[in-house]
Amino acid sequence: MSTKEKNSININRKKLSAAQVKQKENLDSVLSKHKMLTKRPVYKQKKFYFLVFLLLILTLLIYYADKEEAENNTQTTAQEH
Amino acid sequence: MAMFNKYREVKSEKELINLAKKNSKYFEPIYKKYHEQIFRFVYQRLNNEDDAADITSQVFLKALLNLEKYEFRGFPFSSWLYRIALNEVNQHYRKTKNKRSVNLEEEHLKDIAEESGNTFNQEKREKLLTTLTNLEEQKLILIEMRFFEKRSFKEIGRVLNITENNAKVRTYRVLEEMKKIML
Repeated sequence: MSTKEKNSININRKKLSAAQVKQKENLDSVLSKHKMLTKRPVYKQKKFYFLVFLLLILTLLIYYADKEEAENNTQTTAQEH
Repeated sequence: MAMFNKYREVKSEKELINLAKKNSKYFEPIYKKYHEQIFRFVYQRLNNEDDAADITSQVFLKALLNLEKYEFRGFPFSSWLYRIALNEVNQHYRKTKNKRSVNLEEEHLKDIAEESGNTFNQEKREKLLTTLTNLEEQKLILIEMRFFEKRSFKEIGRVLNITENNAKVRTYRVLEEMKKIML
C-alpha cells in the first residue's frame, strides 16, 4: 500500500546570514497595510463633518447674498418708476 | 541580578507594547527586535525565502491588528508571535496544498534516533527519513520545535498554548510512535 508523502525533507540546507535576513525586513509595508486596514470610513471622520459644516455656511452666505441683491434690485427698479 | 535584568527587559517590552496599542509608530522597535527570530522560524518551515518574507510580514501585520487583544501575562511577547507564525505557515500550506518543507541538519536525525532509544545507522536513518516524510502536521510541529530548534518544553507549551507537561507528553508520544516504525 503506497501512502502519499506529506512532507518534503531537505537536509543541511544553507543557512541565511543575519545580513541576508535583515534584507527581508519590510516594516513600511506592514505599517501601510495596517493603516489601510484600520482607516476609518470617511463618514466617521471628524474632518468630514467639519467640511460639511463649512459648505453649509458657504451655501447660506451665497443664498442670503443673492437674496439681498435681488431685494436691492427690486427696490432700485421701484424707485426709478 | 540576571533575573532582575530579565524582569526589567520584560517590563520595558510591556511598556512598548502598551504604547504601540495606541500608536503604531511604537511598533518599530518590537518589529526590529523580533524580525530575525520570526523569519528564521517561518523559513525553517518553508522552501522559499520570498514566501518566508511574505509570511513574516503577514505575522507582524496580524500582530499589529490584534495587539489590543494581547494581554501581558509574564510570558515573552515572542511566544505570541511564534503562535501567529505557526498559524500563518499552516494556513499557507492549506491554501497552496503543497507538501510541507522539513529542513533539518544531519545531527538532528541522530538526536531523534538516540532520544527514541535507537542506535543510529544507515538503515535507521532511512527509516527515520521515511517516517518524517509521512508525519502528520501536528506531530511534525512538535518534532521540529524540540529537535530541530532545540526549544524547551516550557517554550513549546507557550507557543502551542498547552502546559509544559502536556508538551512533554505529546512529544514523547510521537517519539514512541516513530520508534515503533523504526524497529
